[in-house]
Amino acid sequence: MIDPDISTADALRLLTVPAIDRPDDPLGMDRRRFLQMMGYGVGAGALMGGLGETIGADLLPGRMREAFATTPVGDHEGILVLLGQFGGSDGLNIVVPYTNPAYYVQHGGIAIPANDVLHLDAKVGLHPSLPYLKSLYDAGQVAVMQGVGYADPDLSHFTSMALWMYGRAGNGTPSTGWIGRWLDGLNGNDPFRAATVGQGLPLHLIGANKRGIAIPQWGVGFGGEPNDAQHKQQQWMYDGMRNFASTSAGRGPWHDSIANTVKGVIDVGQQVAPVFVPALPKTDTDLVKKMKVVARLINANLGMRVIDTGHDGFDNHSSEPAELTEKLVDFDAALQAFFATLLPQYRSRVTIMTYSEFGRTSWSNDSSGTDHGTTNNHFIIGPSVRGGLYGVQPNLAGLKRWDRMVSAVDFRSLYATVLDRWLGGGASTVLGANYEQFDVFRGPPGGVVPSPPTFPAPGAPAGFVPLSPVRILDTRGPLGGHEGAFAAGETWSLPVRGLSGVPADAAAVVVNLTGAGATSDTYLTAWRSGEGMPATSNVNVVTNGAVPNLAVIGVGANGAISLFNSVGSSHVLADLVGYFREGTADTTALTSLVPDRLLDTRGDLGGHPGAFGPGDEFDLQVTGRGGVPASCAAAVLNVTIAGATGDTFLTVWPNGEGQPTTSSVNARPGQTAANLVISKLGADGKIRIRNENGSAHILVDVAGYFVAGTGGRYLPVSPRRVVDTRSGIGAAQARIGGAPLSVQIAGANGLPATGIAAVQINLTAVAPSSDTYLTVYPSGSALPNASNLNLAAGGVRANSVIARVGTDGRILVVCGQGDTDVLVDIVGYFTA
Amino acid sequence: MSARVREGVVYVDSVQLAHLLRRTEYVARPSRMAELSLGTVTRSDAIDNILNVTVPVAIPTGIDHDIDGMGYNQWVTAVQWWLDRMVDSPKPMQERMAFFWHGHFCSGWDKVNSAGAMLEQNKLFRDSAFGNFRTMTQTMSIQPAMLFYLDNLDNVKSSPNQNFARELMELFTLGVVDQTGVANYSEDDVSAAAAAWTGHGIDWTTRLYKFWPGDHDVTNKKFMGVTKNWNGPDIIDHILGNPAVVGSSAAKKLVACKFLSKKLWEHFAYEAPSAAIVNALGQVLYDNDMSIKPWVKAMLMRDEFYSASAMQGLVRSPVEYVVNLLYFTGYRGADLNPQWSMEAMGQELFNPPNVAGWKTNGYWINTSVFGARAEFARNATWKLRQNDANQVGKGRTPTQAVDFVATMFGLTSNGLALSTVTRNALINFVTFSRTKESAASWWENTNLLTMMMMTPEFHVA
Repeated sequence: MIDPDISTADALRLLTVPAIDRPDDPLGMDRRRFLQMMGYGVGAGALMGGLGETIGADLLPGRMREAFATTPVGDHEGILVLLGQFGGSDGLNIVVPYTNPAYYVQHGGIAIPANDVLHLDAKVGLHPSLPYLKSLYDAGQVAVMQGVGYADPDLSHFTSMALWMYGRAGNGTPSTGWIGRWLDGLNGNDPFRAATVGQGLPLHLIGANKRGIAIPQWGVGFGGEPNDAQHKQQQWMYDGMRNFASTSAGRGPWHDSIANTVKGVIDVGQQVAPVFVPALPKTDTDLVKKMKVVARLINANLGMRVIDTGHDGFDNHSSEPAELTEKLVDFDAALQAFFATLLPQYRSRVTIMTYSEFGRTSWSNDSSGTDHGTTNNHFIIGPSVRGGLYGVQPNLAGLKRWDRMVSAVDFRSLYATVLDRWLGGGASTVLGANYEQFDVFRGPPGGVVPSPPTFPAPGAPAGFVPLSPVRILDTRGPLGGHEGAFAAGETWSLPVRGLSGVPADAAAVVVNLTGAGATSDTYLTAWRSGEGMPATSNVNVVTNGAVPNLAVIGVGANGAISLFNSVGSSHVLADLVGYFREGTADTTALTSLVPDRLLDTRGDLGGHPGAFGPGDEFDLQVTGRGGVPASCAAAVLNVTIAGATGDTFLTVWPNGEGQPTTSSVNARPGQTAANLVISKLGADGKIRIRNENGSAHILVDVAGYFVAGTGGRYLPVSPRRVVDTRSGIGAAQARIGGAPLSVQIAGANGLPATGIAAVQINLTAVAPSSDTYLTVYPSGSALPNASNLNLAAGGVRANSVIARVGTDGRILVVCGQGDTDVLVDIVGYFTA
Repeated sequence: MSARVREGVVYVDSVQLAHLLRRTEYVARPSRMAELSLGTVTRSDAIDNILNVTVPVAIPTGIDHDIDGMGYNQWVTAVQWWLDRMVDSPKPMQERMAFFWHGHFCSGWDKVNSAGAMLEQNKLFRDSAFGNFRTMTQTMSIQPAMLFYLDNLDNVKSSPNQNFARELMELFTLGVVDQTGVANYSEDDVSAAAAAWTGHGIDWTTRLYKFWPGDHDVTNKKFMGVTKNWNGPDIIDHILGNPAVVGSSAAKKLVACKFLSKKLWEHFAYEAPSAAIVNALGQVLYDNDMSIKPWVKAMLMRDEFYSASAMQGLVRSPVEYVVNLLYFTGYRGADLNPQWSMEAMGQELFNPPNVAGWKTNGYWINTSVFGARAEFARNATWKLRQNDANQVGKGRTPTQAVDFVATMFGLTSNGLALSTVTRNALINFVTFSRTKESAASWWENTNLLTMMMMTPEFHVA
């Protein structure tokens, strides 16, 4: 509830510390001296007169037109944008320690579920409302400053904010702020060096003899008419009003200060008004508006080196989930609007840094909120920033209700870093001491903007060997060696080498992973044992449900794969369906197809008109249909359960073999759910499908097949997000509907321009407007009668897809009903 | 023009009386000047008259309870109603004090989101403006406006919320430290006070105050050195030294009285009063067991209140600027819709920026918020110039035109006058305009009105 303008009165509150040097006025102390500087008003007006003792003679009235001449920013001068989060932001819910059980215990119901977090690494991730910031992080342009605070913290909004703005140690009299003192050290008296976009000038832009100016985000009205013939009468009026300040009126300091401020309104208006053309949309939120104005001020090259702005509403004592989400959605949108507005030539000269007066408690209160705390997490953002995690997340172990988190990084270290490494130096003078600095910049301002991050080269292509499906792990019993559910945050290795014929040189196994009986919504991650856990997930498991997803998992040097469960406890089932090995000997290769539907029990397609009953089995002919040749080893299928009446699952296996104890797709009553299935075919070219419980319609689509000899070999890549329509990554920032979204696969995102026949993606749909399905198909083909992903209105669901790539290197994604946001992650591809 | 003193009795003169009225009633209205300038009226008499207000004051129907979906409209009505009362109620000091308490015990419409609750609190501030501070604090604490604003309705024993308990001491009564720099309370005291205030919430059906015994912490809590089963109101009685409560703190009561006295003086006179003033006023509040009227009278009686530092000591807040502008133009709130402009000026009624309330003086002076004042003056100008009315330069020399408009805005009487520099700037503007266009041109008339509303003289209190 603190407002951005912690200027005069809030800073004055600090001055209630007694003065030793004014025994006659114990309440006053340095207030009087402070008032002599502050009290003449803040903003440009204060620059102009009334301050004869401290402001240079060339800034006295009568010279102001000259003084307002602006000096452009040099090509290698840094520009700092300060973005305040007023009220004390909850850093633990912004940079989330999503594997720390103490966080979930202490934050309780307002903790961000781990599978909602946008992972930065295996331990921390961003609030789900920050996809644009995440994309900047992925591009290496965000330094996450963890554990920022100061010793012996004060929990008052006012005292703590004043200390942050002061920027020096101790509880001394904050008559100046850190940027103000930096301004003091600059040559010249250009008042356009620092500005705040908002009302009132915050303490940190006030120096001993220089200060910034205040520019309202809605534009300058009065004073802004152009100096031309059409507006000559206004100019006469402006000149007349400027003359109110031509000399002191002898009516006391406030009178003169007002006269100078009226003059300042006009002078600033004349200079800044062009920045507000064209007008900003009324629909912009306040912060979006502010950040667009900040970008336009930079584009106008008025000479501004520091621009401050911010937004209120982080004092989330209650209803934090909704309130913080609203603030962060706004923050993310404002960042995006800023970089969209900023002209390219300034990109390498701009860095954004967030600040707040304090963090919040690690324990939530009963109002679904948090109270005033201490340590916080902040961001330094920009194309010249060396992205990554800095500092240390606060240790939560053993904290009780009101305990304070210990900070690892003094906030003045952030100031020292940007002062010396971005604003041209002066940190020790400005801050009155030397603080640790961080290597968060790739180089000096104005350097080359880095190209998008490169991905490691993939390994050698591998061929596929299908296996008869076999369950290799079921934690509901002893199978696999992990009896009992995975605990929260548990990592465990499952040996696969030698199981069911997986050879020593197997590069990767193909496993249908199912999470079941979870005590909370969670996710599972699987990866090559012996390596660090990647920042991706394989299965999004819902509480008490059973959710499968097909995964291709590298086999570690120890012959194992690693599995991780995020939160709550969850049973894990793993069904092995094949493996990849390098080279072409004794393996098969993929031929991808335009998807085609082989079975739809809602009609008579495929020969099973009507739903499957409980325990029903059916042999589905695969070869000879949909482009699948007579002799092939395995097929790539998408199997969908529609309108299940009970909790059920399907088992798919090669016809003619005994029924395995595996599952391929799961669904709850009423649900429509799909899963990617790679199945070995029976000798007759058929698969056998069994429905376990209730009745359910079943749909089977084919997307490719494996045969010996020539064809596509598999190359896993480090997973990369190539489309996120929520934030405009790789596509317009717009939901997709019936018009296909075209996604460039070949030659983009680090993949080769040629030689890609099919791509394996993880496709996620977010919050569709109605119950819907998504279909992925090659560019250049007609929309097939097939689907890849089904979900209900408002839901979130992911599925693996192996999709043939069109001749132009693209795939198309279409939404069957209504519209939805989509995410596309590439996890591997098949060679041509 | 100095005060006449006879036999120890101080009489008011017109300059002092005008100053007193501007500070207490926004404007030195001619009717009030006449009423209180009868030659035998002492300073004490004038002050008694100013402080003698009628209570209770009814809240207009339509904003006295919540109407579904009408929150914004009700807020507009409430803002305009209050501004109009500031302009034309018989004793505007009632509104000034209500506003002082509004800025002291802040609640904000945006968070409370209830016309009924906000106006109930507003009524308390008005009807109790000159009552007893401790009694008002007790009532304020359990009104829904405050229960919502500082989250005390969420403060339950299983998970205390300190927001209200902290601000009760930090902002409403004691301040962080006393005059000698000693902390007035500890973090442990905040925790104990929060525990004491658990269970004081609202009934979600009636949305009225309700005490929930099941949410109230009945364990012994150590607050300011005393361990017992504290309840929320006990905290107020203790720190504000209720004489009816054995063991209540006389020392804290005196600290609170001085804390409040400094704030009162800074609101009405000038910033950074001497310790002598603060101590004397604090003692008056203390000696009268926190009764407000004698305390306010003591402030207005002091000679320092009529000193040059006081006369030049305050910048008009946006509310005061708008009230003056409404008075001198004769418009009502509904004519000029000031609620649209006041956010940009930095002050919205019923929406303080934070729990610390509004700031003063220097805060109101910067190019951003003064630009908003100029915009409002410009809008008032367009209204004044409708149908080419207010041809203020017509038939007048430049000097006469300037003095005429200055008189329109109350800047030529009761000791007020434009400064030489301001007056010359305006005369030169009119003279220059007439070298370019005909005398009293459309633009000359228009711009002279705007300029007068933006003279420094119109923005000092």
